[in-house]
Amino acid sequence: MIPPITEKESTLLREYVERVCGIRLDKAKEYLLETRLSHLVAEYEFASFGELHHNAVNSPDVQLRDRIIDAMTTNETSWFRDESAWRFLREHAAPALLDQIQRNEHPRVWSSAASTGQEAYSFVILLLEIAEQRGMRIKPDQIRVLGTDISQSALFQAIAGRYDVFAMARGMPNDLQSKYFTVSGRMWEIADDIKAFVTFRKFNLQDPFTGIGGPFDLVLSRNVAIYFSEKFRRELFEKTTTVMKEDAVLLLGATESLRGYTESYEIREHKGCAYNMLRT
Amino acid sequence: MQSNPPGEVREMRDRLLEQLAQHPELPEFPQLLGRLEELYHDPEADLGAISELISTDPVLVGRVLKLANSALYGSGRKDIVELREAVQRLGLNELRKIAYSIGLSELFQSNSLLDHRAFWRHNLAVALFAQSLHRFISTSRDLRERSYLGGLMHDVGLMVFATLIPEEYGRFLVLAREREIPLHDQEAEYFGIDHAELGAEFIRMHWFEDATVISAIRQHHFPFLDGVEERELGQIIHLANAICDNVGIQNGVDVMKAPFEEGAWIRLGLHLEDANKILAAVNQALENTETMLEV
Repeated sequence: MIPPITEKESTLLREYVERVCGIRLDKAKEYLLETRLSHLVAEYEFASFGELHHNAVNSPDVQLRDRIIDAMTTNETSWFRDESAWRFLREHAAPALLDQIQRNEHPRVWSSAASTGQEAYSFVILLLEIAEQRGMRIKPDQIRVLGTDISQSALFQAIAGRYDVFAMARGMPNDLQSKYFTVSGRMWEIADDIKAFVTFRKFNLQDPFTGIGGPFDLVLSRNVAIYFSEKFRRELFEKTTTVMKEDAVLLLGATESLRGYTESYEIREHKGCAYNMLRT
Repeated sequence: MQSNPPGEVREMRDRLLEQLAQHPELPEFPQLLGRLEELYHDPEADLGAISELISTDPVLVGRVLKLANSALYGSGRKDIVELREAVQRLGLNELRKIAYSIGLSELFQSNSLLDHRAFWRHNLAVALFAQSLHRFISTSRDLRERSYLGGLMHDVGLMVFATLIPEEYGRFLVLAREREIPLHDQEAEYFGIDHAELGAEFIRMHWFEDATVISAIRQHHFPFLDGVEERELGQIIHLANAICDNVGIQNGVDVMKAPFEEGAWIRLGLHLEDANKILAAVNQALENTETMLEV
């Protein structure tokens, strides 16, 4: 049995988590440390939360740090999350990509914290819906969507493309559910036609961006940077410019902004949704 | 919210473990399987002795013959009518698995809480898939054989709950299915013990003493409980269960899919590049499960 977290351990770990992930936990939320990190204490056979902290700080192996980030940033994902962002994607970004497809430009999209795949799949569904309204048929060789994440078990679930009722209830409209999913036991499986557009790969955003592929026309990096330190955010936004095409768009979460971090992008707005265009 | 005061939860746990030790309604380990285990571990035993043992159970004989001729074991080969030939074709390892699969699935009967067929379909699929997972990791042959037994019995604790306290567990399930919290966590919160631990305890007390298999069953939702050497089989069963659940081969009790421990994936050394092959292996395991259930 792991001894309960002590006050000193809690303070040390809260400081550590704030430093590496940028997550600020007040004292009232320290139970989150215990529930999310106790698995790692057991898995690594540490005798206490203090030993977890000691190893995270002192070990040259970054794997433990990555696992802590993964445990602390594991977030609820949903379909078509955040209405204003999806209005922008529906009315602006997706039509622009369809125009590119018509010009035979093979655009690329990157969902940089793909988790179990909802964002990447939602985007493909959106594209197909708009294409259908235009009387257009698009094929997977005309546009590629890349989904990356630090967690392999999450990505495996994304590749499997199956979701339970709870996951479906978070934002998937009934008409799209019956159009793009089939029932498999008590799970809903996304259609192979949708899966075919997306590639999922493990990638740690702290690593160099060479080899990630691209260049991309649209980067969905929503609610990703908020988990990290100021210094890392600046690096992340700058590194992202190196994998973006001219006029490409970087979309952050509704509460995030590039202001104060970088001048490489021009911040624009579409009906209440801020988006960022790479300056050329 | 269903949570009980800590004192009550502890009492509930003690009461369940006490009932587990005494309860006459819990099925005994089948004699035939006990005898088969002796032969399995006896280097002198030959296939003749095994045929003889199986021939004491006419139902088992019929199913062994059918399976020997099924797509799973006999496709393309001549039809077998003699038990001896079937035993030869299948070999001791496969026969043992078949005998377990058939013997155990007859022990617990359907009740209003558990759909017997869905339950065994899930357990059998996890058993078969756990074995094929070994293609993607490097482990010993011994562990491969054990993963079948671990998979087949991993959820037996659900049956134990439903047998020991049917009404209480039934009331619990109605509420538990409404919440997006893993069933085993809710069991631990409410009863002070989850089906993984209860099942492992039941097997240890009443069935057999294979510590590796028992530890794997206890750890199947969180494969980091026991010492490092005893975790590997637990991690295999954990992943086999999580992946089967994920693709919709569930036990008929949970609504929410079983969570997936990143640490199990990493520590077993699986590669995401193999994801599609792993998914194909699940489908194959499911197909084989249906064959085994049909005969």
